[in-house]
Amino acid sequence: MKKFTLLWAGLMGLSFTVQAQRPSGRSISGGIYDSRNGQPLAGATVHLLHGARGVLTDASGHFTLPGISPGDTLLISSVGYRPEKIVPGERTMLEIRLQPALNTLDETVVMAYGTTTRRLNTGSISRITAEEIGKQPVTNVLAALSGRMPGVFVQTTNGLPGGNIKIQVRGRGSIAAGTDPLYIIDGVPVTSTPLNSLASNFQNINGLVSPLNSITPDNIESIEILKDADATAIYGSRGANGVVLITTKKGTSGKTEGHVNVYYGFNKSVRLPQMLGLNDYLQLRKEAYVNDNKEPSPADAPDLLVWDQRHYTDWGRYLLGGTGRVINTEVTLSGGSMNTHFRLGLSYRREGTILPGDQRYDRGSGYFNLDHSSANKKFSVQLSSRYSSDKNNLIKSIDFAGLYGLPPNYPIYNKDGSYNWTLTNPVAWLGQESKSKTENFIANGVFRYTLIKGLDLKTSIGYTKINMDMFSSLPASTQNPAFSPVSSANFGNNYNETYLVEPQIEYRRSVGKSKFSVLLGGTWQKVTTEGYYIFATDYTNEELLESLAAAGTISAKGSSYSEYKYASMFGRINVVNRQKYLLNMTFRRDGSSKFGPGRQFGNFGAVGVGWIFSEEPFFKNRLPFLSFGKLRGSYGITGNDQISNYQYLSSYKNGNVYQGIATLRPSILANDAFGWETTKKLESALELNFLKDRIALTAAYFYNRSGNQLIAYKIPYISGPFGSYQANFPGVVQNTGWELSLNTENITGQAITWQTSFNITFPHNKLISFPGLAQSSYANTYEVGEDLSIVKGYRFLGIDAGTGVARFQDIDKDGSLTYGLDYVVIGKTSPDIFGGLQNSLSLGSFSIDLFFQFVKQQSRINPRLYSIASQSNVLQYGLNRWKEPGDITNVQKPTATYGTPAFAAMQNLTNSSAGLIDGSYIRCKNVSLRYLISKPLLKKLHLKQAMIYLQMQNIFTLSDPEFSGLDPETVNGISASVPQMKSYVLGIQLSF
Amino acid sequence: MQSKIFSLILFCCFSFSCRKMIEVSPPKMSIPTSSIFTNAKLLESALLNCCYTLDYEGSFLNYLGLYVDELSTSSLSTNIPDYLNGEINSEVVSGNYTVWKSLYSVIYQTNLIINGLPFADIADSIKAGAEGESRFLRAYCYFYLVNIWGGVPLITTAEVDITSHQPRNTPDEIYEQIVSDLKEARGKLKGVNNTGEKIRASEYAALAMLSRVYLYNKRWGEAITASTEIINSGLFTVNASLPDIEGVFNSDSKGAIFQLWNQNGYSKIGLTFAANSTTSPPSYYISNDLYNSFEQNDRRRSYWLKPVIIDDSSYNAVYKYKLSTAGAFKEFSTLLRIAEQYLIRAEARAETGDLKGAVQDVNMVRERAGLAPLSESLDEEEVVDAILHERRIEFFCEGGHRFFDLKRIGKINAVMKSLKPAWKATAALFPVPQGEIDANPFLTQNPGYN
Repeated sequence: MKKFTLLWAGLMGLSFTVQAQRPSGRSISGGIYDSRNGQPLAGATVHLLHGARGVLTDASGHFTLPGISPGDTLLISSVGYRPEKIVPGERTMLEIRLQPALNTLDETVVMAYGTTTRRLNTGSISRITAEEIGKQPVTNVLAALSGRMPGVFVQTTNGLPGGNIKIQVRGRGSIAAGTDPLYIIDGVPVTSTPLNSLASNFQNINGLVSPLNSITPDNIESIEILKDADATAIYGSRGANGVVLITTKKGTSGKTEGHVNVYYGFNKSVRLPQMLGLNDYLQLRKEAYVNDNKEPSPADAPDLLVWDQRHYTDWGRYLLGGTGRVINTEVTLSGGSMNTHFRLGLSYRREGTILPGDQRYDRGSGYFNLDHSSANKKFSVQLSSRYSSDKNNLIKSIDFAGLYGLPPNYPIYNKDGSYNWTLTNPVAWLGQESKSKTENFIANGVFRYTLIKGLDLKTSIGYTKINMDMFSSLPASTQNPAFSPVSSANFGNNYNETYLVEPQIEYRRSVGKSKFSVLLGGTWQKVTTEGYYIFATDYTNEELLESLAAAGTISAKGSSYSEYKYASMFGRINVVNRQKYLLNMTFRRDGSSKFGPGRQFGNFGAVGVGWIFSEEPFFKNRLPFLSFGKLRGSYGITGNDQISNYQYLSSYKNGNVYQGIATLRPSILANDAFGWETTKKLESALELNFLKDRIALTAAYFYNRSGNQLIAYKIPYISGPFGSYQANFPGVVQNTGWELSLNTENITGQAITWQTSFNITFPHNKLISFPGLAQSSYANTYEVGEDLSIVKGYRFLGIDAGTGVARFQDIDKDGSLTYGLDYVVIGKTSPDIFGGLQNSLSLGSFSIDLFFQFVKQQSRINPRLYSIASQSNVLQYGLNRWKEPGDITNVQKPTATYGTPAFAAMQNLTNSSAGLIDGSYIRCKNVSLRYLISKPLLKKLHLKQAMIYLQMQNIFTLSDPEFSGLDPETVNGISASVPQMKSYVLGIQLSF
Repeated sequence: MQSKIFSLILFCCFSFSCRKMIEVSPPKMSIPTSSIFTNAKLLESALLNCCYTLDYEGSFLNYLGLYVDELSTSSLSTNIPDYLNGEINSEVVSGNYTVWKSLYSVIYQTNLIINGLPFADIADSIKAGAEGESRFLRAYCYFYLVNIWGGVPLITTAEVDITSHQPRNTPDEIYEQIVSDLKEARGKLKGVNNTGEKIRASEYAALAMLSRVYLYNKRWGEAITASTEIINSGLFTVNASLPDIEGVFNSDSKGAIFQLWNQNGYSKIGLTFAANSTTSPPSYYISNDLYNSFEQNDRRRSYWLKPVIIDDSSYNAVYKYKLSTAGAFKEFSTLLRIAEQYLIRAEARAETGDLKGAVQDVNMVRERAGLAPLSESLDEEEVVDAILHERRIEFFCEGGHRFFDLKRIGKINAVMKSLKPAWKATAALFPVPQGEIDANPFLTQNPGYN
């Protein structure tokens, strides 16, 4: 932190000279501590109120400031704490306790190519710090963002460790291109595309594996999410979907300090699907035969006539009822002198799963950070690198809905000991291994030279490589012998490598009452992605599936390669006038190899303005309770380039064989005239702090319009054998919304503090125009004037009280239900409202945090899990089914026979509004309890700091009873997946 | 100070020479189109893929046979009854959109080659051959397009900006392009591809198409000249000896002018008409109407049909191609053969009054079939009818001849209406696939399909 303060002192308006000439007067020394628990505060500043001298405290909170006259006033400040003014008088030793503050206006906020503060920022940036991340025992740091930031919707698609987490910043603006934000770690862009998407055979039970899993959460100082044009336009053609800036921890000066953090705990599924018990199930099945007027036979109803009628298995519990142990350790060493700082760390995590069998996730990582500046501070260098390796030892993906629905009395084995394959076999599936190993290396260096006062030259150089090895197997013994299976295995490797060079010049100067800062920079980036896979089959020995040599045949193979280059120049002019009027202008000229020769370059830019009206005498005098008031707004243009490479390049690829010669066939219908999608972003916001910053309210409204949509544009076959090409399309998508956040310091005593943070977002997504939608391949997916996430299907009209069969609306009134023609918009899956509520209470050495996350939305659920049409179990909700004429319900009567009206309706139910339920939920996302060991005990133990903590994640969830034990967060989509994990961990953190 | 200036210059260089900085190496999995024209081997590979793509008949002749009066079926799969009833609609993909796509795919690929060749850095002789073959293939495809759908868009460039909204052309414009392409092809292919297997277009392949086009356009004199040149070349024979009629579709067929190579030793069309099941009727079998048109003792009835008896019912499967799995010999899909040239010349001679010459030509084909020669005393109408009958028998389920012949002699409606009650006069042209009209608003539908 200290280094940053030094570097950016000018920008932050905290200019003072670090090394003063030999002053007259006394020397004052002392220590600065946290008022709650007496922890020393490193990097706090102590400086003369009227003068230009000051110092920073060292790692143990100590400082010495010479040349103080008895009448001088000292201003003591530290980021995250309320500043204090002290008149030392005759004292030469001071012990100062600072009170923590929630709404600090001058805390450093990382932005694009620099830092700012909440006070002077003109853009929309949300942040989460190490402290908040550290309270959550998550595997993937992105999970820690859930519900914490307005405008940022975080969705975990699969609860298993390693699962992919999607972040959507201010809604989906693109019809067909990607909508992931740009992820940047310490200035180096990293890929967020799962590497196991190379081929579908590599999907583990945890789905797509997020490359960001390999970033250790312990090592992150802060995550900033940039949202509006002012904050993102400087990222040009990649800024439209928002930018996630991840900043890692750096070393501080002072004594070398060791730090150990260990926690241990366990995971359980947040919920288990509540299926019918055996008796209820059998009752339902018998009812089905009564409804069908048919006698069950051993062939079509072994569950009623053959299998055990007393013993049963709860398949939901069988699959997800396990306990996964988690152990996470981290050791770091940091320290340094005035000019050189370092930080080294090692961490290891092992996480079992809730699934049966020995499945687990392992991650080990090591990193180091080193920074050095010359004695005169003119030159500085900062180096950091990290390596991590994580392994998923899992099984292949399985059909969850199908397995939950197995009859409770379904026997795993036949009488002769072989697997029972009447329907499927869950145990056999466990033998289908799927493993992946990711290695991630990131290195970057920043070199800075101050040419003359206020003019810095800077260059950052970055490199990252992320590599994934994949293996999955399909032993013959795990497959239904009726289909004479053979053993097969899949091997694959995929990597993504990035080089980055970013030279920059920054000039800062004060003229009169204005402070100017001008930044000019350039970027060059090269990304290579390369992968291959081999599918081998006809193994004779099941024990040797990992040996390619043991394979009988290579049944398929493939490879992929692409290169992406990116060059641009960017700039920013920032003016702060009288600490009241703020102007921030950014521009970027981007060149990207993804686009055709004529369309490679484009210009982006934004203007942000701010008015700190609370500095105006009018407000100062009349509204004394208003401690800070800022009105800000921004408008600008950003782009989105998330499409594949080489779409402009006319090319041939390997074709067939003719005349014994391998042929070449055209591989793409090239278009050399397409460019990025453009998003115009408008935002206005009001930031208010009341009662000496104890209450802080931010209200923002955003209005984004995304045009020039990149889609697979339909092309007639007379133009070539492809049917479409990559092109810009004049469709427009609009995202608007309100974001509110409220932070309050409810109690700020010396021994007790209570803080509350609340945020809520009301997003609204709308397809404004789509010329020719009805003729396009998107006709059944979108509708003009509606949300992009709409679901179309039959409108479910409830259950006919007389017959017990589901009814649907016949839109075209032709007497039958037709796919497409009788479809209406039945709902949407994007959230209507989301947010979070955090309460932090601290009582001396003890503190507790409580965090709730909430979403109002609709969810798609597989109606197979409600209504019965064959030998399959249903959720408890199925007890509400129609039983006799006159019953008013929304669950259809059971049937068991193909061809009955109920059976036909069952198939339509899947594509109807019955499958869309209220998916809103409130989740107690995090509870964290911490106890700081008291000072006397620390002294005895020779420790600087020690803390014991208990953390709980995803403790309980409130949602519609229709979910019957499914997880509303991960169920979204027609197929169920692994629910979120409920974690309990106990840990200890020591510093020495 | 110097270092300052140096840094500034360095910085500026970094920022402004952008265009070079974003040049990427091509994807390893593909070859830029420009490379095709710098390497003769790559050019040949691209050209051979045009031939490969042309092998679409296996998923077309079955439908076309049903559509006219050649085939019956036991299948009720999607669209099969539509074809049998002679009433398909614009949404039909099999046999309609698939064929459209294949033909235009060949045209796209040949356009890429033809338009790229003038700038190619390759020996002139190789360029000439590639252009000749490409023009032949393009003309072949347009011949089928114009005969199936009428005046389709005439596309001679690969520029998608132009082609994607191209409207229809007239049949005359298309024929004009076909004739000019074939003449060019003939010139460029002089003396090449004349030996060995006939799996690459030669000057005679171009001439064979040309004589067919002249016949269709009633340019009798030119048809006679073209077919005579082929017949007189001595390279192709309609041999009367018995084994030859069996070997018409073999890879070493003496009568083949242009065939499509395949890797398996059997053709796709052979697979389509295969009747190997002993328990279920063949998917396609000859209609009674066609079966009864064969003269007694016609060798083709015994050699080119395969009787199958299932549950006491007898079916005659199409057996021109014998193979549907690899065998002792190889069969290639045969697109052009010498018998057609004799019948073209016969028809052109008959139309121009040379009845004797016409009868001689027909008898070349009849003799091989083991039939008695036609009498030289027939009048013109009788000779023309005899030629058309001969064409029906010789080319059944082959090359779309029956459908096109009925159309060009103006008998399509009379013949079809008597067999298919739903037949409409507009059915003589297939519907333009709806997907094409959706993607190209300038393309109009054929009459009767809106």
